[in-house]
Amino acid sequence: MDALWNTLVVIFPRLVSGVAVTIVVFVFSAILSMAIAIPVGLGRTSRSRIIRSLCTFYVETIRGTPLFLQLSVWFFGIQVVLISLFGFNADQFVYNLLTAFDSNTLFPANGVSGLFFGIIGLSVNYGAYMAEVIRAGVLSVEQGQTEAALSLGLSRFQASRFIVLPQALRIMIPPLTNNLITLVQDTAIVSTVVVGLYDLELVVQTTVQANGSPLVRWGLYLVELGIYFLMCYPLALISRRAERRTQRTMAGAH
Amino acid sequence: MQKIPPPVRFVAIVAVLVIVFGACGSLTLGALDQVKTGSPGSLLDPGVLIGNVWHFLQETLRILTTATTPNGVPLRSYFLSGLALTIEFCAVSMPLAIVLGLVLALMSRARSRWLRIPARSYVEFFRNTPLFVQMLAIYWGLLVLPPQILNPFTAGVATLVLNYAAYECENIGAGLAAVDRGQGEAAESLGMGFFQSLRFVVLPQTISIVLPPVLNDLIYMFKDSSLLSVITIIELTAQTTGLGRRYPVNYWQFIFIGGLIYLALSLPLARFARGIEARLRSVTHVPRTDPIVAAVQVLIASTLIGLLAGVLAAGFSFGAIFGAIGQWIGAVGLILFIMLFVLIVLGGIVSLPGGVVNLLKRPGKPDQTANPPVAVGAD
Repeated sequence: MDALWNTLVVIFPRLVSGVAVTIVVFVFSAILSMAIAIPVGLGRTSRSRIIRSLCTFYVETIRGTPLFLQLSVWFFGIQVVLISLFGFNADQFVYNLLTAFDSNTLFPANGVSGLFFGIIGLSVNYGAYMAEVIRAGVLSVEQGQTEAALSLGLSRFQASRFIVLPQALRIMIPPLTNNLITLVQDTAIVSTVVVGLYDLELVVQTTVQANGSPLVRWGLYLVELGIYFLMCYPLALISRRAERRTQRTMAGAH
Repeated sequence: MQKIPPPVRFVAIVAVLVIVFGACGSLTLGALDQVKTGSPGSLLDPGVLIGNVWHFLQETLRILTTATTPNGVPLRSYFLSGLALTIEFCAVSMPLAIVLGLVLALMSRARSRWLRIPARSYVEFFRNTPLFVQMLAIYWGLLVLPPQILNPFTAGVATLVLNYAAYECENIGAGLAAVDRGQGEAAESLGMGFFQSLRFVVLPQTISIVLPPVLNDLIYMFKDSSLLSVITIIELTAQTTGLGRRYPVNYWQFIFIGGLIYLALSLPLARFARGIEARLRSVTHVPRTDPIVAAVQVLIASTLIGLLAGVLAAGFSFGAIFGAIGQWIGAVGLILFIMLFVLIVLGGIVSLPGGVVNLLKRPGKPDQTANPPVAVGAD
């Protein structure tokens, strides 16, 4: 017990910075994946067959392959392609970006491309899953409402913005929150694939590999699982609450 | 738009689709080929582009047909053995996860709080922590156990089962909740016991609700098994990326083949799940499956698939088959051990304070009023 406590005290600063990195990855990929998901999800319900099939291609390809493989491809494959074809060095790019915002303390000077491609990989992956949620939400709003809006003289964009999306949003909130929960969990995978991203998982893993005692290992893993639980459980509560509220309003409407 | 006749319109749409996808695809393939071979020329030049794409496809075909490693092992057998391992894991884990999920679902609907609270805490814990970290914790954390009980295989199966049992519990719980409470009560008033009413009345109606999400979870498990590579199991993803790292010239060909294998299995499975969902939701469907017969069928099928995959992965010999079965038994032991441990410890942590408070409030009287009986009692 003493050994565990001592180890925890020693790695406490690194644990805190690991949690910060995890949260940074989570927040950025959540925002980016929503930015991908909304146009793709609407594109899946578009009337144009070309847009629809392009979006379907993206969604099915991403949902059909594991995130682990995708992250590996982003970091070891596409990074090289970007450098040799376009001269785009992600390391340099992110470093300049962080210097511009004066926030270089969290990440080492080299190896920030792991952060960059981790966020991109997670966003592209979750963009596909969330696009499916958005599509299901849009399709759950009756067709008659769009037609009524169109006959009132609204344009298609206006109809989806003022009539369809506000109603669809309420249905989408629980599954979107569930996706956010799995997104928090999948940030743990990123640091294993990419190099040099010291998030919560990697901090604990490196400490565990250096420690021989089984008790210390178990304690460290339990602490890590507990921290992840604290990050995910509030989201789960939000999701359940939103679900219950949706069911109640749906029951009241009929 | 209305003036164009439908056949012409159809042909035009197909042509545009072919052009769009063909242009994007060949630009991608050409660029990837150029990066690896370093051939000169601009990608916007059609001759160079077509040459690159042709070379890329040729290389892919070569890897799939004739290419071997320097030791003479055909490269395609790496993909096959990786895929076999992935399938073996899914075939072993999914039935176990469903069984444990059913047990958890029944526990979390029981009248007794000593069953309900541990089951709920188990589900919440496993759903709200990463599968990946659970896997590492079970493998690296339990390394004190003997290698017959804890090795990469059993640890992987145990993690997949324990994690997915929580998700199956939610699916099955939703199915049980959808069956009208009166049906269970009617069955009991007809003299059926708890298990009889479950088998003949409740579960047959649940299957049609539970099957589509369970099939979806099977697809998720198929993809999540790629995480097993961190506990040194060389399944499909590990084979793919490993080959890419060892033979960097053909990196993109390996990635494409590996990705296409994943797609070729998960897309039909997803379509199948959607088809079953549509069929089960239709009005004409009458639930009359005997759950025990269905369970035996699923168990036999998955055992056969698992054995076949195991033989494909490790090569055929009776020793290998008995070894595989021994591994499965070891995995079941590990799962039961961890599950009981988590149920008791977590349930204790969550329920003891409340239980103590309750005992202090009303000494000698078990708390009945606070928990109204739910649909399926476990007494």
